[in-house]
Amino acid sequence: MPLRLQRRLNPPLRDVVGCNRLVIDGQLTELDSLRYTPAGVPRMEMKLRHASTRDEAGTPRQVQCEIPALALGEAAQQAALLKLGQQVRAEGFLAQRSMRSMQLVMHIEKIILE
Amino acid sequence: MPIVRVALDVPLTTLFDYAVGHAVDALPGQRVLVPFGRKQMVGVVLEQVEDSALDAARIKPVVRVLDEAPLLPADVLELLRFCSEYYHYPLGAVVVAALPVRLRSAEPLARREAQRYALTPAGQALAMEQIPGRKIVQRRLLAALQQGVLTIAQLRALSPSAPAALQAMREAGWVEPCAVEAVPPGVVLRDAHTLNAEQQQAVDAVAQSSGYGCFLLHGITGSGKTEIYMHLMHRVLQRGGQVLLLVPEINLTPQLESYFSSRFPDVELASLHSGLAEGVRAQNWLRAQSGQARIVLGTRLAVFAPLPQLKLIIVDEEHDASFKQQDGLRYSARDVAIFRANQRRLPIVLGSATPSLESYHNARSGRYRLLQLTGRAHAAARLPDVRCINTSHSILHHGISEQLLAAIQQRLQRGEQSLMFINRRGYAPVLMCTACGWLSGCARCAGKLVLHLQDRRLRCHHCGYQTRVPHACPDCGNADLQPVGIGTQRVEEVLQERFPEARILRVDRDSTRNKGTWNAMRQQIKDEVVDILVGTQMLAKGHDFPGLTLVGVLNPDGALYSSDFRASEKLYAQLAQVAGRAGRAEQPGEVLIQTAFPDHLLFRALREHDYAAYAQVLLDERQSAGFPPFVYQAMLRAEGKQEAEVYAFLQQAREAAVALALPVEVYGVVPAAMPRRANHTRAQILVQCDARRMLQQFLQAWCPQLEALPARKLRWSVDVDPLDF
Repeated sequence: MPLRLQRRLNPPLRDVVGCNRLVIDGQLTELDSLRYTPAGVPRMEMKLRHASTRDEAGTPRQVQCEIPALALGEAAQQAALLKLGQQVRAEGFLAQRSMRSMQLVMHIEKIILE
Repeated sequence: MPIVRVALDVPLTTLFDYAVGHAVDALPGQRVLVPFGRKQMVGVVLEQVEDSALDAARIKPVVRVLDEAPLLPADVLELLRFCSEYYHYPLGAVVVAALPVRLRSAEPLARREAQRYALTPAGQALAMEQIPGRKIVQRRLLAALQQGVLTIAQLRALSPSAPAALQAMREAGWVEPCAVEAVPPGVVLRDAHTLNAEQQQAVDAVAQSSGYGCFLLHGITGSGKTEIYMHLMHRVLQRGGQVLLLVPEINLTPQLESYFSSRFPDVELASLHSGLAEGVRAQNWLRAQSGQARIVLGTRLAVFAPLPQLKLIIVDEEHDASFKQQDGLRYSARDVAIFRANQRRLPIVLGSATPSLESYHNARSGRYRLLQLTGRAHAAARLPDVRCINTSHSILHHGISEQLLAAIQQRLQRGEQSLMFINRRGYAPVLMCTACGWLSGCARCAGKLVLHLQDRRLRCHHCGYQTRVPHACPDCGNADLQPVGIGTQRVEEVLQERFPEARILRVDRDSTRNKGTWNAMRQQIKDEVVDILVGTQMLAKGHDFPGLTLVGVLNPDGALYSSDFRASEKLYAQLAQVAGRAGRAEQPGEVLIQTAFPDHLLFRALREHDYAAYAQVLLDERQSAGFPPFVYQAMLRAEGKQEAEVYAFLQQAREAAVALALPVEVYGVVPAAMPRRANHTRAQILVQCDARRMLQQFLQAWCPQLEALPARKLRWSVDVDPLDF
């Protein structure tokens, strides 16, 4: 199908105003090597393990989770300087892994050593 | 006033009448220069007549007769007439297309004799020791020339640097050019192998036949079909006859040419294929035409070469689709060759390891004679062990299973070669956005753009359109675009990552684009400086790589889903051929096929090397479904920028066909397999009939009606016995 026609049938989502922001601290438990998309955009996949104490229903509680994350472009280059096991703070947004998978993946825009 | 009827290369079905002076003789087969409209054209005289239906005042005179004697003999003219009638293509265009390009112009062309060289008396007196030992080529030439006169081509077959060595020897006064001998006294077949019983039977069957006879030589890969050709040719050449040998691939002709010249050192050989420079091709054609070249080796176009002493035709790899021309005159060189053999009352041998079902059916029904070779010629060589890897049970690493990787590893350790066969060039057949489902479609075709990672481009393999890989998805903006599927480049990359030490060579249309690269690569493979070959069907055909012991077939399943009813026949032939590359010399070969359908009859037959069983299955299928070879088909194809116009034309064509009320089956107007290409809509009508004669009678009535239909902005063609659907 020609590209233009395809777009008409499948219009890009209008910018829906809304908040999608995630800032999280964690330890790098998996760190793929730096790769590139077919267009040459740097790309890096990783996993962050978060552990902290939060207040919930008036009581402090322990929280643990592992977050799959993906960094593209500049963020991937920042991530490439990091090492497994390091404690980092990542900022970004959440997206579904793919059309077929409901799993959430954090898309990192900025990642720094804690 | 004498009139000649001339064939001109114009898209009209008629011949054109011209007047010739009484003193001038213009015989059928001679080329003439004639006025046509405002210009002059070269045409070929087909007939001489006394009267023309046209008004004498309107008949223009021939400007000039170009040849002293007819260039095209009567039998070739008859052959061309047959092709024009059978394939429903204008006679003028057929006749002119049969001439090499250089002879389609009025420029005079001198026949150049192949230069021959002989030793001078000083050279004859020369002892081998008088040439320094390090001048290996000179010594080799001396030894060869001591045996007799040789052509430059024969000398070059001894060494690529023969011309330089020859020059040095001429300067020393040892060698001189000499006049051409008309017919060499005896014909020597060098290094003739003793034939085994089956081979001998095959040779005898052909040799003992008289007049026309069509033989299907069915021999598994490595069963020594070529040696049979050699013996048959030898017999014919000894009696002064000419042999026409048709081969499918241009790439193979230089190799074959030097091989044949080395086996028949005193016979002149001419090759004819579109890879030759125009001048060379014209000279070779003239040498065939004069009878001087006695072996004519060529691709499909060679089937029309005039051969006065023709005594034998051989079509090697007769099942190959490249014998069918896909544009202009859509002829099948194999079928035309059979007609020609019948016309000239001579034997024709069709050779293949996997005959086309058409030929196989004819052989079994007794129209052709079936000659079978069931053993490998090299007594030590065994057929490769063929196994399937079930891809639905194994984890694939970028399309390659662990079992296959382990088998490659083993070959690397043993210092043997592996070949990964995948019929798709590029990195991945499509680029996808997994977030929104966008696919890299071609804006001008119905196909997808193929990712070529090396130069970061998306290319359409149908129309040639190309563009840079988009930075992000054009629909949703996601930059994380994914290549989907595998092509040769990706396989190469994955294997290189896995085996960093291995020397990997990729062989596909992209990597062999520059002239001569493929030859250089072939040498590399022969010299065994390559460990893993990754390639497309280019690698499947007729190449002998002695160090190769493993063949991996990636992703052959696509053909099992194809809408083309010949897809499985073609897949079997292709896989049998590529499997035949493994273990041709002393080492046994192994073939691993990655498929999701290991129990499919096709793979079962491949594992058991049982062409006959699978051919039977396919023939039964074809018979019950009413497909060729049980029916005869013709396809009307049309394409144009306006979809409505294409369909309107075909609809009218269909109505005309139905109105003829002949006992043929006229199918509906349907989109082509590739419904849009390069901004053109493509559609077709299939017509079939169980009698060839009736189909021809129908076409005879239908084609003139098609000519009369309005079709200003579209292109259409009639394809008789179509191969592609």
